[in-house]
Amino acid sequence: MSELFRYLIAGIAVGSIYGLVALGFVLVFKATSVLNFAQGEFLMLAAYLAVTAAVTNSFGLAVSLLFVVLALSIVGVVMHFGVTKKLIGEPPFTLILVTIGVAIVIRGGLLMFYGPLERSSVDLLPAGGFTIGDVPVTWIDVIMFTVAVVCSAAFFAFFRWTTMGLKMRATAENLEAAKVVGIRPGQVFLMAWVIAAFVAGIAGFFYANRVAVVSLSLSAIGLRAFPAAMLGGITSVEGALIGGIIVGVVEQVGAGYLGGEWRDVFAFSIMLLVLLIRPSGLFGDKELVRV
Amino acid sequence: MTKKLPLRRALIALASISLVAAACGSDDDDSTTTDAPADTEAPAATDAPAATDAPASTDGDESDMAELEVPDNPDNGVTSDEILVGWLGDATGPTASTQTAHRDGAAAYFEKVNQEGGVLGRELTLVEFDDAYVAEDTLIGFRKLVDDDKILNFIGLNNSSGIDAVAPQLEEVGTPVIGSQSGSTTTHENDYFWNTIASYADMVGVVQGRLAEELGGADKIVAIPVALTVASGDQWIEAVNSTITDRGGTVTEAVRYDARADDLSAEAITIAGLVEDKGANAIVIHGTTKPFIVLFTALDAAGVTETIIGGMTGLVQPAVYQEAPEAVTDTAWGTHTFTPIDIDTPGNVEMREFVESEGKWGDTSKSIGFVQGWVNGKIQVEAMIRAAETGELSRASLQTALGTITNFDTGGQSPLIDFSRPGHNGGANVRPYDWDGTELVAVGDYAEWTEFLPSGD
Repeated sequence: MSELFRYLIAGIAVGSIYGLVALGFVLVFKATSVLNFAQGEFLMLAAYLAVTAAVTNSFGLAVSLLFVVLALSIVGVVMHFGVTKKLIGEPPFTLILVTIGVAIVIRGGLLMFYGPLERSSVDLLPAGGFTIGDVPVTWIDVIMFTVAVVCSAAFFAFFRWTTMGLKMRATAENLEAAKVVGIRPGQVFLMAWVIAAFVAGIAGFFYANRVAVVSLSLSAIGLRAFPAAMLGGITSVEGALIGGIIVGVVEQVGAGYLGGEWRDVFAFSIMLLVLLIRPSGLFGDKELVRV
Repeated sequence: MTKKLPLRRALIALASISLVAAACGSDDDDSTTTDAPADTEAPAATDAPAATDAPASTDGDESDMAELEVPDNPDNGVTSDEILVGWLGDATGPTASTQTAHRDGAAAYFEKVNQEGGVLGRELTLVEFDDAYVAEDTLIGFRKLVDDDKILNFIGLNNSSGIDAVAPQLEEVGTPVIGSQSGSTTTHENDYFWNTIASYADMVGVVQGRLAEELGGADKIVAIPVALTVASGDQWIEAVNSTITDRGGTVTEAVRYDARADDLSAEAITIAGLVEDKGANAIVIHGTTKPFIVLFTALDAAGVTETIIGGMTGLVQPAVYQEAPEAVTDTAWGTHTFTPIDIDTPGNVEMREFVESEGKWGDTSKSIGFVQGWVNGKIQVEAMIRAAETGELSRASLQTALGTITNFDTGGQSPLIDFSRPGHNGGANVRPYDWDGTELVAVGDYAEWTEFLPSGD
């Protein structure tokens, strides 16, 4: 029983990170109807920048975090003006392919700039932790979970109660209708990409504090978070975090009891089941089509 | 020397066209053809350093080797001005830190040889293919290097799952593999592998010997086999199960982990459970640098800090001890055939001086994999010279020549390499290495651990 509880705690910790990455998927999709397959690479880029700030230049926590989220926000701006702006109105499939291309470019750039060898991780967060019963819980995992909850709550509020949030939802719902009522799609798309990159910056920074080393394999988290986004509902901000935690827990329990080789099987089986049984996910909007 | 082949080919083609044009342009001007490299007669290897660098059990003296000539054999990687040798491994994936060191060690030795005049009148060129630790890409790389680049042989072919995939094709193309980084069973069962690193059975044998010493007897060992989810992981677990139990110890269920994973919490919790529930007192581990760091970090979080960790070659890497939590690495040590670069031996001193004088290779030259790559380079040169004594340098003659290498002295960078052992187990001897806080320290001589080698029983 103690072992199961340990797997649950580990799953919530890992699931929080999946949730943050899934949130990036959702934020872009909600505004642009595009699945951003570069979200994992955004996180990886943020983690490497965190290493540059905290390890190479010995910046403190606040400066390093600010550096990373600002840099990633700029990446979001570049992504919009340099890549996606000209493609507004094109079929989503075109934009999806573009995001895959961007992912390859980011990976190649990191490989050229940092090289293939892994980098020391960041240790700006408090080490150690506490126990619940006999189960150890680290402060870093508590912080990751808190950050994920705060981000989810903030963006839930943003979409529900701000004008820009409403514009983004309207644009995703019907681009042409949004234009008619005076919404500028370019502005909405810019905001979506900046927010997605900003969230990846936060996730990457904190993840760089949690992992043992920073390497090019970090981008794989994007693939793991994708089932989380599908499970929660690709249009649901709160669903992203819940989906992430479910995927994280199932993965840890599965890998713990059946072996590490089952980790991916569980993660992607969840996605398959969701697509077969409930395509809109647990909290996503069901699309109604008049026939 | 490493290079991009298409560019070289383009230059050679351009040069050939120039030569033809020059020849057609003037029958009187024979200077061009005189200066052009001979197609069939290579210049004598007057400066070939292998004869002096590799004091092997050769019958030929240095002057004999200096006069050796071999005709071109472009289908087997031997052109008029270079000899192509393939490296196929992980340069950008999860095991890159270990494998690029192996590649760079060989490249460094080739560089040294080339600066001293090359071998058999030709430069050595390392043609590499990065499979990023994906077995399917190992297959692609194998065919590309063999069919398109037409390499003479491989110096390293490193990913165990990829090795299993291409091993059946080695006999078909007849190309030898010198010094794989894997000690997997396949490399010790396939006649085309010439192993400079010990087999898993020998590594586990020495791990068991040291555990018995530390725990007060072979019967006191309760070991958890831990291995990556790759083909060689199964072989490691098999070696641990048989060696530990045959010698009176106990083995728990095995734990597998993924080299690509950045979080191994579940695996660490499972290990913690085996320590608590089964009384396991040792982890006998298979893996490499980055996965070790990830798993050890998770073990620290799971509270596994007092269990002895004895492992394979990947644990003889400074990076593991520098990056993973000290609470876990305090009780960890690895075994290896090669001698880490910081330990003074004639071979290591020579290698360090060359690396420092060149100022290349950076961090990879600190890794023990670099030493293996360098030694593989020495063996490559020695084998080519022996093959040339037959009058030709081909995959077949190289394969035969490798079989004649016995008691090859690497200048203390490894035990004597002896390919006459069963399974071409050239570097069977291994010894443990401890981390003293700043560097790796050998635990005794190789000879002290011979009694624990199954191959030496």
